[in-house]
Amino acid sequence: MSALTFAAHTSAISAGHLLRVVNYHNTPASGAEMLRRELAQYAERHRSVTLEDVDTFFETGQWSWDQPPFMPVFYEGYRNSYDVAGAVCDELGITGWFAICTGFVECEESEQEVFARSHFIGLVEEELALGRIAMSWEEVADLSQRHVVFPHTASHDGIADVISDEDVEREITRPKVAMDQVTGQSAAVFAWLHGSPFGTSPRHDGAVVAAGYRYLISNTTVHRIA
Amino acid sequence: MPTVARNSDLAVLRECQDRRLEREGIPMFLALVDERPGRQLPLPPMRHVDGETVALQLRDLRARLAGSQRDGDLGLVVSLLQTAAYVDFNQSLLP
Repeated sequence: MSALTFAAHTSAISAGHLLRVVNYHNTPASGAEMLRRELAQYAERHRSVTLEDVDTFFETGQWSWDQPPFMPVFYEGYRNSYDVAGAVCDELGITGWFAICTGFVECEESEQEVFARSHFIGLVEEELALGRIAMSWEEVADLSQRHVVFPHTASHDGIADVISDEDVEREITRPKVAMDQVTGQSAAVFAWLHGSPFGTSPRHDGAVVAAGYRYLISNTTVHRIA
Repeated sequence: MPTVARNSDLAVLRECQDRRLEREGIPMFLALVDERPGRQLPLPPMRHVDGETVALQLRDLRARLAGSQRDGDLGLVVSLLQTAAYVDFNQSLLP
């Protein structure tokens, strides 16, 4: 288990164990042009990473190119993550990483706004008129063909909210089962609400590993856990 | 420490943490760590100039902003990584 200190982080970064990330949440249509411009500018000087690239890095300690590696992450599983962010990434040839609250995706359309407001999923006015606010499973499957999709719990829960065995099953295990079923892949990554790291709770860490994930992305680290 | 430098760092911290989640991207530096028992990420064959530069920027930033805070304050680690990444990404967008 790695130390979570400032010294440990700078030591890893100094050795080149460093990844530049841009975290996005809502990507509404009105911001599409700004998003396109921003990602295009990043892509000029950075190279987006695939899951295979990350796997290779953890075997070799090196990226196989010179440009700084870069990972745009789109959180929560909004419909506009597919409609806008996914489309922009496709257009620019960038690999996007989509952290999806599977409970949001599974939620009845008529209840999605309440779900979002109840689970720290921020909304903008323009998407309230859309009807469906969350991504569909078909959209998750489509994104997985060109990008990386992964569970961000079911209910957008933090580590402190997952207490019982039932919570573990619902928030850690079943999201992967559901996602794997529609993508035909094995979701490799997990992330907690609030970005809790690996190493603070053996019980939760064990559950994430047991569920079959091999990475946990926290606020400050990409942890290779299996 | 120089007030001007510290005020400038605070201004960047405020700006990067005041980004609108619902519309703007939040740049961040992440470390990569192998947690598998008995495994360690291999070190690069040569010095990693980019990594060393970023690490130095982080250490300097911490000294200017919060030198008295404890090493294990993960919240502070987040703020420092976020601030340094914000500067880094914005510099990379310059022509």
